[in-house]
Amino acid sequence: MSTYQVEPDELRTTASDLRSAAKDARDADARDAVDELAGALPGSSTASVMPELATAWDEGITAWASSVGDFADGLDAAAADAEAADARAQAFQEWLRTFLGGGS
Amino acid sequence: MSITFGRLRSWRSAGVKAASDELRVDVLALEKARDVVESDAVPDGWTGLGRWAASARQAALVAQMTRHIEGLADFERQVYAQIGPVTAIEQAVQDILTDAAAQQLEVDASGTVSDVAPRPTFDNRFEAQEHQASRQHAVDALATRVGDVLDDAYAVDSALIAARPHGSFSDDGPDYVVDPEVERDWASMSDGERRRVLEHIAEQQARDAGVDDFEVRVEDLEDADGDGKDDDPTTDSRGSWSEGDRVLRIDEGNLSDPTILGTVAHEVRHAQQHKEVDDLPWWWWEDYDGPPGVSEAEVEEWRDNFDDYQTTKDDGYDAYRDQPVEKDARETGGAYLDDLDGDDLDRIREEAR
Repeated sequence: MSTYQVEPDELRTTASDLRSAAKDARDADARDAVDELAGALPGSSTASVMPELATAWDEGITAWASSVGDFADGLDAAAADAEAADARAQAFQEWLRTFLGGGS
Repeated sequence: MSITFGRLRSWRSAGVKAASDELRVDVLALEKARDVVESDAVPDGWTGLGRWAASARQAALVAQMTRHIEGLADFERQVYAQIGPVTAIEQAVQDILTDAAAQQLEVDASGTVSDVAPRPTFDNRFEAQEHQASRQHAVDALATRVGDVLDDAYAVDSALIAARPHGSFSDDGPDYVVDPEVERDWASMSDGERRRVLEHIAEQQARDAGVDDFEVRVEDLEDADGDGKDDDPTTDSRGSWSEGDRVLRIDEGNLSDPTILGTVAHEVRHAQQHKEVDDLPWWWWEDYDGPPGVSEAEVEEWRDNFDDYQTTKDDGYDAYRDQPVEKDARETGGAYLDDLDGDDLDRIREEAR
């Protein structure tokens, strides 16, 4: 069983921070740097090998960022669950109050 | 592709510096993203099983990115370290070209130096010989400088290739990367010497792996049936290990490609995999005694894989490539090439003579 003792808004803020981090990671692909290096050293093995490696990095970072995005989705879903649970508890309390209070 | 004097004329230290700067910015951005996941992903108030699962996932994401960042940061430091040598190469190339022009010499794209001065006339043979000797001396001196600057360029390239990141996001990068100095030496060798070196490496690797009683053959693997046509144009058969007749075959059509050095290590690994499967404990009181870093479970996986070996022809390339025995052999071949530098090859050539 999992319990949140945090505000749903806090979860959503964290989710937003994670999405931001995922985007920053995606934007930090090394492709430009590697292309620059390859262009500076024509004929070298570095120029022929590194662009292929940079493609692998980009794919790996994209997958990583996607996992972080999924993590953020999980936090949003947990926030929604927490709100729904709160709403159900509140409705039950209101019903109970109405029932015990005789409708006044 | 190889480094030639013609290409060296376009080497630019400014580009190396710009690459270093950009890599550093990337590293910082990735560190920041990683730190957010590390510090924020699991809120403090979260308790229970969900927190435990989220923490495990968070730790895996952080570890994966940390490994990539460490590799990238090491590579960036090596790129930065090469700014000075590339600046010196740039200057040396310019000096060579300036001196060549001043001495009426010419350096072509391959680095060959020739005398382009008009032929003077001489009163006697002695003066002509003196002049010829002094011109030849100038040609030789410039050729030595061209050779030296090419050596420096290969050293830069080797350092960068050796520093390229491994693991994490680099796993799907190129498998067989050859040290540039090995590539340069390999290109200068005859097919006869290449065969001797490959056989020597196979024997050496096999000895280390405890594999004996086998033969190395260099054959045309693309046309095994000998009808003069490629048996399967969709595949590139570089080497094979045949457990039945204990023959390690190397494709003669790939002899000029230095990655064939990794293929030899790859095929010897297959021989070792068969040996380890044969040596698996049979009785319950026997202990497993496999190679370092290989668990009994992995060897059992190899055994099951050999019983259900996937071929490109029947099961597709991905099924062939991703099966345990091929993945392991590919890693072995790649690791062998990663460790092999120009000095190692020089030693092996000497031993194989």
